[in-house]
Amino acid sequence: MRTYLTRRVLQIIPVFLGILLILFFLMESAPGGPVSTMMDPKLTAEQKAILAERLDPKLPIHQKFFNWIVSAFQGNLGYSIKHKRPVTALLGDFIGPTFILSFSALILSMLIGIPIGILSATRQRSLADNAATVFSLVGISMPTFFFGLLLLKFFAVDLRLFPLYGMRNNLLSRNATWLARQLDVAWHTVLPAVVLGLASTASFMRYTRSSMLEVIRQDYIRTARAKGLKEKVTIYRHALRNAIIPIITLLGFWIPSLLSGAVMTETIFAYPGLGKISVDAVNTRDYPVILGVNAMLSLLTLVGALVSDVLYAIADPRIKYE
Amino acid sequence: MELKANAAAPVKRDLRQSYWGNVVWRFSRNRLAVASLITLLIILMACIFVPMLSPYRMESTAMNERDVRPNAAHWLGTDKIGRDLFTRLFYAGRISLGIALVVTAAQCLIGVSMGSLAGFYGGIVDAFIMRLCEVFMSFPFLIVCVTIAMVFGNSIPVLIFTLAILSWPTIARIVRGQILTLREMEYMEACEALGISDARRIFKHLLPNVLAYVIVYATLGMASVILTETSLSFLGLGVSPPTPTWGNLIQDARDLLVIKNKWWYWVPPGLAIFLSVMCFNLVGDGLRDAIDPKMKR
Amino acid sequence: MTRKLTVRTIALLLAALMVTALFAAASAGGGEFEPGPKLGDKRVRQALLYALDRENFILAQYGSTDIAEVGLAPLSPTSWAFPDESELNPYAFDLDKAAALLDEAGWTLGEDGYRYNADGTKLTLKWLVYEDSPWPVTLSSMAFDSWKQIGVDLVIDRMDFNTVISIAMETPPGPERDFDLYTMGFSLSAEPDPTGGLFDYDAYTEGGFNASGYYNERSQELIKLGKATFVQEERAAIYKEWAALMNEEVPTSIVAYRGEFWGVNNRVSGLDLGTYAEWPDVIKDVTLEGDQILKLGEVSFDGKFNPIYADKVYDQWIVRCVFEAPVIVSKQGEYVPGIADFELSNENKTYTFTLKEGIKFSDGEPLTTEDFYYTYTMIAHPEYTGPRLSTAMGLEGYDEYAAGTAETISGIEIIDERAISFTFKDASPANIQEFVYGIVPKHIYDDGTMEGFLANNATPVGSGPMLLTDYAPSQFIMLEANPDYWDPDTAVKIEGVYITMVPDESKIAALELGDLDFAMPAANIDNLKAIEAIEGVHVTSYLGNGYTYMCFNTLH
Repeated sequence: MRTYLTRRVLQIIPVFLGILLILFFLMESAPGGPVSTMMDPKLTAEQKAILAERLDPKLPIHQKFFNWIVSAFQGNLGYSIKHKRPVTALLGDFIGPTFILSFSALILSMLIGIPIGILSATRQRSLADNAATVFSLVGISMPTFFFGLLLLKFFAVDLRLFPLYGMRNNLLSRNATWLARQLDVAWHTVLPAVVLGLASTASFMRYTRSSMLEVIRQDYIRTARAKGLKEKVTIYRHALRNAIIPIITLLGFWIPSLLSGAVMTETIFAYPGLGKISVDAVNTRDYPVILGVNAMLSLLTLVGALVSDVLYAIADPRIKYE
Repeated sequence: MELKANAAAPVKRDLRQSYWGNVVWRFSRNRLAVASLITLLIILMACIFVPMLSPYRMESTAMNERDVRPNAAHWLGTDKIGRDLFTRLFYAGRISLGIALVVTAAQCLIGVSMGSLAGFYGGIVDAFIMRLCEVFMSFPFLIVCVTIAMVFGNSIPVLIFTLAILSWPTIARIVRGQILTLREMEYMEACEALGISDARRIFKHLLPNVLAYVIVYATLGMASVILTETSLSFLGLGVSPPTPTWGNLIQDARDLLVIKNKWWYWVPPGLAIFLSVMCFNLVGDGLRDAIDPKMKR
Repeated sequence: MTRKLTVRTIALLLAALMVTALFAAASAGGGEFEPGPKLGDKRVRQALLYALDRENFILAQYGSTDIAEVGLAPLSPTSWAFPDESELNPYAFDLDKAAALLDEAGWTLGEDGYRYNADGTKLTLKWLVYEDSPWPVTLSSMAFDSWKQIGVDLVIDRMDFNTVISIAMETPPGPERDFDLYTMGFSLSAEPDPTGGLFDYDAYTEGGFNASGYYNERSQELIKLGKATFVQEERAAIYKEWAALMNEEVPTSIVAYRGEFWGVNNRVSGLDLGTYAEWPDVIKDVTLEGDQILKLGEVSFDGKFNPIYADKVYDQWIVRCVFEAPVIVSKQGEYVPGIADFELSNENKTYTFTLKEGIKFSDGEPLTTEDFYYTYTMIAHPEYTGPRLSTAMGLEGYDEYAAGTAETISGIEIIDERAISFTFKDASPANIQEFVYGIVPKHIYDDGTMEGFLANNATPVGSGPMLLTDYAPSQFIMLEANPDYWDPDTAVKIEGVYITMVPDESKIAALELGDLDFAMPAANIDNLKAIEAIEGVHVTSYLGNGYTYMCFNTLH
């Protein structure tokens, strides 16, 4: 187990470096630069070059790469060109909303997906099962942005049940109590979380269903039934526990995909998170921010996959650690 | 070989005597999948023959017919500069479906070659290719796409390249897994003992057995490529005007007033995407069941 | 007699475009490039304009010609230098005229419906279109259709804003520049001097804005003359002639002038907005009925509340409330003394400022020429990367200072605690524009490093009539009246301004509910009508100081 773990962790390093290297090459070959957006007609070409040098020193790419990694290890991701603030501080400001959104979506999809998955596994071919299958099909076939717009149109524009955009109603925050503010954030998060959670609800449902079906067919469940245990006890005490384990271990995979899915959802609902600053950063050629956000998201993805693998290995003794 | 063994159901018709005949027969019994296939064909035909279906040109503007609601003359209304949206919807379908087709073909090509190399040779080759897969799978997809578009510009080839380069690892992994299993089979050992060349072993003996899986995943891949491509066009990437993609058409709805008052701008392309993605998913599921009834999701 | 140039952004129109004022341009001589066969011909450019239905473009984009007007000449219609409209050609939509002009220019219709010249070259044009704002897509899609009808083959090339800039303005000048047209927004100022801008041939270099490559001897003469003339009436005549010439030649055509409008609650009075007067410029006149906090809604702020770093127009609002500048712009668009009186000497090259008496920062410390000096040397700091770099560049001795051969900038001289002089390399009435930025307190901002200087961005301290007392990024900004303002006679009369960050879409509802006292929604006719329908709220509108333009590459 220890060697497996070590090897798995060591594998992350070349992969992460590979990602960073590709990102660096992309940045390097982008047309225009941070100076272009400043659009100062008084600057001559020479002075523009000076300014560009100050903002983004021209170094050989390997040098840049090396410098970035060294300072990243010291917790310094550079200075945002647009905001004139450390990238780490900027990430700190924007990661909160993204996490709130992603976790609401995750919890929502688990709360809906897992019970329905169990239900449709225990009542195979019933009406509920068929309905669940149709729902999951719709869930994976629906384009996020279209679903988002539909919800906006019905619930925010027509029925006015939910707010249109953003994460909070700033208009109430001056005198509002702490509780009122949290409720306000929750209220703003409902629609984006539903949109973000749709696809993962569908996959939670599918996984739970097939995992449950697999467990129900196992011998020990048959034994339990044969012993005359009540069906409920069999299902919920014995089968469920074993069926849930593989799903929990998959969480590591879901978290990063939720985080990157949040980019789209944040764009639709103008939710102030990582998606918003990264798209802004691309448009203004704010290289340190682009790198910082991408590096962090990729690292989360890698670590998420690692955690999943390891959890799965622990949970399922049949897996051999080669 | 194993697949054929699985398919050995009681023989009733000629069709079912060959492996692929069997697959077709089983697929044809799945009514949902067949209906989806027909729907897809209808959409495809409409996209191809739209110049004959519609009296309007995709790019012609009509300033006296701006923002017209759907009516007898304009079945899906017009946009803010008076272009017929029915016509544009199917022209957009050409681009969106065309891109999805090319991307899927490209990702299969890369995925199958990488996957079979990794699976067949194992060792360092395998380790390298699998790490490469992880690199591409761990990219924050949308942001990287936006960045690539900024670097190389917005055009169809760039879009195809981006989507293909970021999506091949899934197929590569599946092919690799299959080949690993097949390699252990006795007949492969026999091949090796007979001194059959590597290339021959890959192309003659391994790939045909993997093909069925690739077809299934390619069909499902079409669905996910359409979703990704339209998401990217919605974020503002995509192709140059006046040619739209489905995602570009919906992009107009990022304006609240359009969401509120002009449903005909964005609901039809949204439904078109949804319908085609769902049909590809159903056809893919149907194919999977037909190819190997025991295959699990 | 001098006038000023506001530095502002048409942020709504074009989020990323930042334009500062104009001054001495880069090198380059005159007309070393041959005009091209397509867009080098005036008749082709005019034909393209005649074949573009700009009035309907405005209707499609903004919903009404009340929101935007068809563009005529490269000056703001509100400017004192704008010529008589009747002298200008509006290029009203006319396909026949367009076709006739193309025929005249030797581009004849081929069998395939496209035009060819005598050499057999097809009239194909490549238009760079960016997505960051919706209007270029609308305009180019309209052009695609209507130009096709006169036989022009338009190729639209979609890219992002930065890429358009890099292709059109940052590649080496010459016929190799790979585009025929591009569109963008441009923000103007009270100063009509076009130096360095879209029409100045000298700016057809890597440093300037002119991407058309167009050369006209008379135009260059007029630009030079304008800079050498210090009497407004004489300058007006020069610029009127110049503007009419550009309207005729259209190396770059002005697509539209856009209006801005605000919804204002009736309990607010004195908020007299105009082209040259944004709310921070008139905040001292504002009075309120009821609650003494003025509530404003705006989408987002970058948080760079620093006079020499703020580039977003919204950040500049905050800066102008908290800091005070030596020179300000009057409602009529003229330079007037701010916290300093000034006079011109040394063949119009030297401005000598005398600070008004008793100016204090909000912490009670006096504002002296030391602070003035400090602020302007920070712009020349080797690590400075803000939008004001060119302010320092025009000063005498800047080059030596930047090269490290001089300890100080010889062009800046502190005379005493209240008097300071700035000497420019070249005389120009436009130089005064460099003094409209606020002065920061040295004793708070100076810790010897640029990073320390920037650390104050979110907690600015200045001598202005308001204090920034609370700021939560992407939530709100609280500005309160400065209780110890140095000039009690002109202190603000209200308690403060509370700025909430709200999406454009929520502004109108918030105005209706009274959650906001004033706000500027997206400029389109539906929003205008919606505000007009709200009881107790009125509309204040004016012409924005800028335009959208379409640049022709005349070397093609």
